[in-house]
Amino acid sequence: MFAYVVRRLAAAIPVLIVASFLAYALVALSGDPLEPLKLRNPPAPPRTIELETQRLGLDHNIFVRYWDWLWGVLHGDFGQSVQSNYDIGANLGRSATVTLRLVLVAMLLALVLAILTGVLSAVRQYSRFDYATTFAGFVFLAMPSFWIAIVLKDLAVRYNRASGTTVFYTIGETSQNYESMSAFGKFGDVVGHLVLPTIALALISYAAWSRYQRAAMLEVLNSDYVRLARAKGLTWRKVLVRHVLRTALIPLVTVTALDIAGILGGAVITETVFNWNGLGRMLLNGVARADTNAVAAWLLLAGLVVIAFNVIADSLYAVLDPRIRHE
Amino acid sequence: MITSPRRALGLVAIATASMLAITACSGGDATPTEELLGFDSCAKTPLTCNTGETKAGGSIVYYEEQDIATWNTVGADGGHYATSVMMGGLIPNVYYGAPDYKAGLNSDLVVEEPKVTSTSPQTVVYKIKPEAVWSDGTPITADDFNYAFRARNTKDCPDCGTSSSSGYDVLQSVTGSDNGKTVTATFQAGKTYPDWKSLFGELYPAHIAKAAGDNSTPAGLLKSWDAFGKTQPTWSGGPYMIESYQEGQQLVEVPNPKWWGKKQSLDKIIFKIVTDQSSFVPALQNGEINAGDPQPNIDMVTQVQNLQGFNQKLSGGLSWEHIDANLQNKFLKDKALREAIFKAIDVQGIINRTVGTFWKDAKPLGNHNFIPQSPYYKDVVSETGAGKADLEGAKKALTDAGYTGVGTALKTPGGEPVTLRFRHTEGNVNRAATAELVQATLKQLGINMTIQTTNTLGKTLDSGDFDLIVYAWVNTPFFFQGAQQLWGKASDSNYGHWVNEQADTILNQGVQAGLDEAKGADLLNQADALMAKDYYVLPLFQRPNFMVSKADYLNIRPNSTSTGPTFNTEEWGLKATAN
Repeated sequence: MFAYVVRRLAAAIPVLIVASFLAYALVALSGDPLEPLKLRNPPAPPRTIELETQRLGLDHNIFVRYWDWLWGVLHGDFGQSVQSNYDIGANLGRSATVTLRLVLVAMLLALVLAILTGVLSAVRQYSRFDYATTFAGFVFLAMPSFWIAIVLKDLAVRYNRASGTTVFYTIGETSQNYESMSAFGKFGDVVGHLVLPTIALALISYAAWSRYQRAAMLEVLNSDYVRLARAKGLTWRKVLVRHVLRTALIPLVTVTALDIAGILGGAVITETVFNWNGLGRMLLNGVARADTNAVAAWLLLAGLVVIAFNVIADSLYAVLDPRIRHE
Repeated sequence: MITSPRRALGLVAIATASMLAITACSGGDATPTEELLGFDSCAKTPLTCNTGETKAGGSIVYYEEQDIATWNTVGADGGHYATSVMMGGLIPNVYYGAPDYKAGLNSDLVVEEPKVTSTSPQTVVYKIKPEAVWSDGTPITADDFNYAFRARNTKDCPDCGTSSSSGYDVLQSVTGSDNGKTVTATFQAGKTYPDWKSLFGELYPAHIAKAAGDNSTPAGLLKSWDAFGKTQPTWSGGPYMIESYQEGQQLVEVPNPKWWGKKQSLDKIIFKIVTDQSSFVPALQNGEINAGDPQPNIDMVTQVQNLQGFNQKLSGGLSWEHIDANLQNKFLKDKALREAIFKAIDVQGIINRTVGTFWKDAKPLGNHNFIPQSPYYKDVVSETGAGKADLEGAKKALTDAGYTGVGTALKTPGGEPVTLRFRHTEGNVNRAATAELVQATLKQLGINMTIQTTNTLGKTLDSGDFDLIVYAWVNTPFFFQGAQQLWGKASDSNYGHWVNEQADTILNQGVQAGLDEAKGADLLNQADALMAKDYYVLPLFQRPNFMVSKADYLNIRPNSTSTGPTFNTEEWGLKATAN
């Protein structure tokens, strides 16, 4: 198992290098980070432009710049940002923590909802509950995440205004007076800020995952070994939990791991709409400023996450499916 | 400056009157009347609208679209509008951009209007108030002026990158007397700098610089200059100082206890960094922000106009859109063709499709150096017929010049089909609409025009890789340096390579005469009229600025200059009668 994981990780390295170079080159060629400086009126002194060109390494060709960046990354230095004060490495870590909090909670919520509704829909196929969740699933599947986010914000503002309280917040991760709050107050504040973006992000994944879970459950429920288990006198609950659900979880594990890139994409949008200072804003600011080093660092992290989750999915297969473990 | 930083940094123009008016409107002492409250009267009385008595205490959450870019607002990566607005309450200046688009004198810092005591060499004397001190109690003196001069003149510290050395590079010396409270700035012999009021708009504390590096050496200056960029200021020379900063989230300012001017009203000013424009209105409704000056769009303006309990105002900004012709293009070299194109373009139609959808006051711009709010504004474009959608006049100009196929497939007098390429910034919907409208217009003249976007506007302009192009300049009340920079025949920013010897001579005369501002401005208008007749650059419209504030807050008012609305934070406060 360990050797398998190491092999998978080793195979991912060339993929990461090629992908990061392509991303680096695309961003580097997409715009001039010094354009605002060059087009100032009154003009910036030529020496200032020269100094900035040197600081950002723009006087080298793309291959040298990429190599310098990669060498720096391997030594823990993510290079200079267009904004001289911006520490790319520190911001990557901080942004990732913010996003991770959102993504993990949203994934957990989506998974719990998807498994529950998927199982119940399959067990009670063609019931009112099944029709209702199927309908809801397709509605959420069809909605763009930013639209769900905007609708949720509007509903939250209406609720706050109607109740005369501020239960839900529409911008940021915490309130401006967060530091002066009591521990209980801080908890409430974090939850108040977390609830809307989490729901917005979770609903997108929930929609697809609940459909997968329902389909997988139906397939297993109609299989011969389930009938055999029932014929042998096992209780329905035991069959459902130990034999059906466990097998039916395998496709969901695959989908969840493969969806990580999509969830990160959704998080970028959700974070932007709710004004979270996470990976989403880091990427958008980086692209807007033509900040090649920052965007490349972001993409490297995103690539690592996707690879890591794929490896985790493969490992979980083995846990859930003894046939793979024995191979 | 072109569009990227929303408004030009550094600003200002003149008018002692603005200083008097600002002094007169100083917050709490004024008697509030209904007509003074709100932003409705801001067009007529920009310096006194929304004036009223405030109560002590309270806070405001102010919306900002961008984070602090650098703590050194005039460093190499400085010059950002949002940074300047947030730092406005702590960095002292001699002049600032006032809401009436003129230079406002910072009468908290200086005793009187600085005087030009000599014109040869040009010498300006500033008298600093004896009570003016930094937040650690160190007096603000000529040393701070001298530090700005030495760090930014590019000679004393060649590697101190600055976003602008303009003016500092023609100063000979900055000396102090009277315990440093009198500053004498002397320009180099033979150099006239009419925009001298743009100098010393951002003063950094020399004594703190000294602690970071020896101010008498280039290496020491560089050290302190860089330190100012990287270190969150613990100092202040204004009414507020920084209490805390969370990157990408908020900057919190509290009153500077050593502030010597009018006592601050608010206990806290929180600049909330909100990068998503669509969040502005819900956050206002939800009470998460109380005021801001976001870049407007039709959805935002419509939603805000439907809100109760908020003051809001759209007004013309300093940024203006225009269409430029590249005079090195083989077709556009011909003035007759340019005349036809400019006459045929429907500027009002472009406005109706773009900013006019949410700003009813938008109208065609008629000058290349001044905006309509300037006392020197003179429409020099209308009389040329440019921008009037005059298709018949355009066709006549072409026919008279010997062009054939007018209205069908235009050919030069030499028989060559006329084809042009129009460029605009990628993703800019207003410019895309402008390009489409121009394309449709030129088709009626028989010109086949293709549209091509660019994501590197600077390179496109620099390399002359365009026939026609739409973009924006940001006007500045320091109009002399701007005019010479944009239209001078030898300037690198004269991207379309327009040369008119007569106009160039008058332009230079205007700059030389600039110490008499009215005379200089008149000469600039004369040169501008010649440029308009050459059909080189067609001004389109001013871009609007938008200001919104909860009605409970008084003495906060729109300011479309690069200084922004935070020019008078010490006066901001909650209405004395508000709950």
